Amino acid sequence: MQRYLASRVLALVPVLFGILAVVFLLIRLIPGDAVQLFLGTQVEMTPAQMMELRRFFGVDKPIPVQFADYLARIFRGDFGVSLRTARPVLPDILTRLPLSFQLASLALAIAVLIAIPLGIVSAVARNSTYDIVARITGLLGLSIPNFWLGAMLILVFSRFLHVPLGQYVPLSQNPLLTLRSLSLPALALGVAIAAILMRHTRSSLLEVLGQEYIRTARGKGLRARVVMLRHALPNAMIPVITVLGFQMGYLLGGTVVIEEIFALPGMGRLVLQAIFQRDYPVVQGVVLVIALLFVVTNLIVDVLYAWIDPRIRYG
Amino acid sequence: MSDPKDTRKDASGESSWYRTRVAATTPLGVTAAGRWWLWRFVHNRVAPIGLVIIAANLGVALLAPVIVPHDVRAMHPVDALRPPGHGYLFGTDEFGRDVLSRVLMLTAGFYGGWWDALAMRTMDIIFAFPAILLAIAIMAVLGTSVGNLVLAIGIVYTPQFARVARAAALTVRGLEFMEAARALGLGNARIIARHLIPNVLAPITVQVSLSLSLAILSESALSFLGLGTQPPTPSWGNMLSEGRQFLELAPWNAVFPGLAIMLVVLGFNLLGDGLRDFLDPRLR
Repeated sequence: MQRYLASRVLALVPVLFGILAVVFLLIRLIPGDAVQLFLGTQVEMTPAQMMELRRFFGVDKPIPVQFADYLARIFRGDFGVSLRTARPVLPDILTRLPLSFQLASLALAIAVLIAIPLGIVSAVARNSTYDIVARITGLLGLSIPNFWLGAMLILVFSRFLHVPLGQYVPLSQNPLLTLRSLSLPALALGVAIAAILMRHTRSSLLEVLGQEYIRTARGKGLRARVVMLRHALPNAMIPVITVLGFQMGYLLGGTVVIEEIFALPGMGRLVLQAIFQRDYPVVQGVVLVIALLFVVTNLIVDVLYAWIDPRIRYG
Repeated sequence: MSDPKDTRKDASGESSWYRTRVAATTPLGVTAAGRWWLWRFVHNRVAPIGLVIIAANLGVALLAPVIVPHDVRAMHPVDALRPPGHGYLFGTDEFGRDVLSRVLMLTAGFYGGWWDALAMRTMDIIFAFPAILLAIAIMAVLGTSVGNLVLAIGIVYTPQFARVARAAALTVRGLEFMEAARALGLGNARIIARHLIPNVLAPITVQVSLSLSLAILSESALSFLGLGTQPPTPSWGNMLSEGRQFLELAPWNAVFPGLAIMLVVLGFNLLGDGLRDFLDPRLR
């Protein structure tokens, strides 16, 4: 297991390097340079002053040198300074990180809680009316745009049910209120994941239930519940976990859209606001942090996967 | 989704019905096989529904200038906040921009070696970003235009095609008829064009259908956030965004574009699911 872990962590190095290169190059793709962006159109400057500013920002050097500078700064934890607020970017991101993280986790939890039981019942009661309804619902869930679902939830709850949605309250202050303020957004975010997980749980369980060892287990007189819980489910969950790993990106990216709809002050709103204000260091910082989170969650899923299924470790 | 009552497959996964049909090939064998495909497609039940939904939407899109009574960009202050009768199809403008990448990845799967490694690592890096976030970042940097939108969505969904194409090419590469083609002395270009590509089309077609649903969802999400199609050009996403501002007053402005998106995406999902069962039963 340690060897597997080590090789997985080592394999991350080129990917991290690539991520940093992409995030660095993103800003270089913008027409004009950082100095012009910083100044906007209001300021008249002599060419000499422009050169001086370029030297100040370090953008007069060749691109590879700038990239090396950038890498060095990132490793020191210096993500740059916001062009609008003149505050360092990283602390601003970190104060908003918990909300986005809680939202994604809650969405994942909701999805798993809905999907796994429904998928199991669907597979066991194959071709029943329930199964058919569940499968159609699953396809619908896969097709609903999450931002629209969010808007509809707001509409139904505030206009028709008159339930106040409530402001976001940090987890440290009152966990119950946090849960209340995040549950609708998490539901809007989690439905698509639930649909995907349900479909995979169903098909994976159906495949396992057709295996010889399930017949053996039944043949030796085990109760149906034991066969399901001890023999079928653990094996059926292995592919589902892989699928879960693929969905992390959707969850992390989806927070951007969902936070905007529910007006939650998370990383997503920060990055959108920064985009419209052309505050590129903030955009760069948030994209980098979310990509890093994505890579780390994928690593966790992979390790979990190898822990559950020894064939992966030794394969 | 699998056809639950499909008992036409024997243990080898191949339909015995199919084999007898092929065995009974007449001079009109091609049409018989063709008819069989059609028979299976229609009896698949899922795919045709998807196709009908998509066709209906394409029909509406093509006929839009005829059906739509007013210029969609014109202002109608009197009609403001009236319930709209129909949505406009403007979500499907990002058809397969990934042709190049797919071909590249096919060759990666075919040649293997360093080319494969380089191509796959590049894909890994794109894959390391959540798709919608990378699309948002690209739009933020390049600016909002339909061309950039197509580019952004094309880039972020490239790795999925790449993986599917590569995996399929790797499988096919090891098969006997590839060896036969090589033994006949055919050049690489010819082998790829005539033997490899036709045999990996099935999984790629399925992926195209499923990815189109993702592409439409992405386009509408980006337009909703104000980073995609810009008003006054209507897109379901930006209609929804504008409708949301009057959610309490005129909810239908937000309800219908969303339903329209859902219907088309559902269509592509149904088609993709059906095609998967139909073209490549092993992928289930």
